[in-house]
Amino acid sequence: MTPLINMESVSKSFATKTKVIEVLKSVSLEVQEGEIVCLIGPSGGGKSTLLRSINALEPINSGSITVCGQNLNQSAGAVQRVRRETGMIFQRFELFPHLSALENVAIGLVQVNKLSRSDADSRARELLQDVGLADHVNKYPANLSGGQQQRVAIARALATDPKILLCDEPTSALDPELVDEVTEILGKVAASGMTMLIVTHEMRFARQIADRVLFLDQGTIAEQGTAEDIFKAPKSERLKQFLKQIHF
Amino acid sequence: MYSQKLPLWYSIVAILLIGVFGIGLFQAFYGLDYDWDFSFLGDFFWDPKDDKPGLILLGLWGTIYISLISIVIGSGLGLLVGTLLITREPVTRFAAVFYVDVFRNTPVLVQLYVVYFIVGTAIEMSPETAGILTLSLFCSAYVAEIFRGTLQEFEKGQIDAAKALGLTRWQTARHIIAPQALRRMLPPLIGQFVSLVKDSSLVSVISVVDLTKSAMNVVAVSFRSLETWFIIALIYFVLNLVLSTVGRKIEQRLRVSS
Ligand SMILES: Nc1ncnc2c1ncn2[C@@H]1O[C@H](COP(=O)(O)OP(=O)(O)OP(=O)(O)O)[C@@H](O)[C@H]1O
Ligand SMILES: [Mg+2]
Repeated sequence: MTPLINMESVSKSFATKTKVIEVLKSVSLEVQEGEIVCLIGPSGGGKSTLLRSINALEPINSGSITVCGQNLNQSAGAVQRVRRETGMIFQRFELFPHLSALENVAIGLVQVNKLSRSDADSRARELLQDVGLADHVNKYPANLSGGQQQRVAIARALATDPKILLCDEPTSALDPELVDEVTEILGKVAASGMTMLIVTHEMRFARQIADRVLFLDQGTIAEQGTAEDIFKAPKSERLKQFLKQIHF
Repeated sequence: MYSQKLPLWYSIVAILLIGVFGIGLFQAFYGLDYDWDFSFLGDFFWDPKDDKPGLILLGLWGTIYISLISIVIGSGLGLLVGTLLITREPVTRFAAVFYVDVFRNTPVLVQLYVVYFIVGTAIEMSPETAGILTLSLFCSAYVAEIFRGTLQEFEKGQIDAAKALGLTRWQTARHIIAPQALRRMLPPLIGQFVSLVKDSSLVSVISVVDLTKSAMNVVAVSFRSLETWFIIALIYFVLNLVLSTVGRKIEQRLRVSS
């Protein structure tokens, strides 16, 4: 079976004024359809950069990335098609503050999927209902809690019917008591057969949801395996050190 | 949000201070021993002999007309220059920065003289054209800066979210950036426009008939400078009050409709 995401020897560096930081060092990764992959690792290890390279929010320096059969290096059209096939959840939600919850969810349906305004609205209502926000459709992001905002963001990302959902620390900007309402919904999305790549520091969540866990350290996939392997029987010293620090 | 009530004596002190100032001002004018008379101004608003608008109304029209055209041209040009300010092409960007710097760091009066006496001599130009041209260029430099600032401060996260959704650059500009940028730009823009209406008084030095030029003419024939300038100041004040109020109304409207 051809993998849904295929990264081959992907390298990426950022040039700052004083030096060049290598963030991804020849990373290769395959993700199969329906697979749930969690990315863990120390801060600055390149987790966000890896995730963002998959939908070309971050251009890469070398290697190749193929998503849903589209090679990202090939054309602007390929990038656009990949972005339609992927949804993304951000740490800080990144809802559009001038649009209501409903409009945030509907905008992709209208602009990308070319639905009519009324069809988009009724579909957006359903999606918001699915994330438990039926009573908040007309509220603006500023008037929603962090957990509610992230749920709107999930509905927005799912609206265009993506094959892959990329989540960059979806719960780390949330107050502790709001974390569960978001992980619960992501769990449902995972159960529906979605292919997901999730950067998370919630080890309990990772253990529940992940088919595979990657430990990304200093720009390389230093260790990978099932959640059991990674959390119960870490091999490398760095992973042991990392797991000790976050004491889950 | 909660507001704490301030002690009453704050307001009492404020009223007292304003009262003292007001009485002082009144005393100063009274002490002039000047025979205030505003009645003569009526004829300068509406000329009874020819039954047509008098000097002041003509001047008011001049000020409104010159300011309005300069604001429109200046805003259009400003958006264009503002886009050039954030282009990645270095030569164009440098030229745009230079343009903005020149117009922001020299007095409008000097710009007006340069345009009228130097440029205006090279290519035939009426005083009105020179005035409108100068004010438009001057206004565009500030509009460009406001535009650049608003766009550069725009949250990258939102643009990432729009891209990730699959919106095109144009859709992102149209549906995500423009509505928010417009609302953020409005207050500084209105401030700029109000300032332009005031600066438009400078065109009087090249004999363009505006409110200030008319006032000079009225003073020249009536010898009543105190009353004339007082009324002229009042007209400028009302004009800009209307402009700011309209601006605030639009701002509220944008907030509600969002
Ligand atoms: N736009 C950028 N310009 C320069 N350096 C960057 C940029 N984005 C990321 N970096 C650097 O790249 C490295 C990896 O960043 P990345 O955000 O991928 O790490 P991360 O694993 O997601 O970390 P965290 O857990 O803190 O989110 C960091 O050293 C970071 O400073
Ligand atoms: Mg990160």
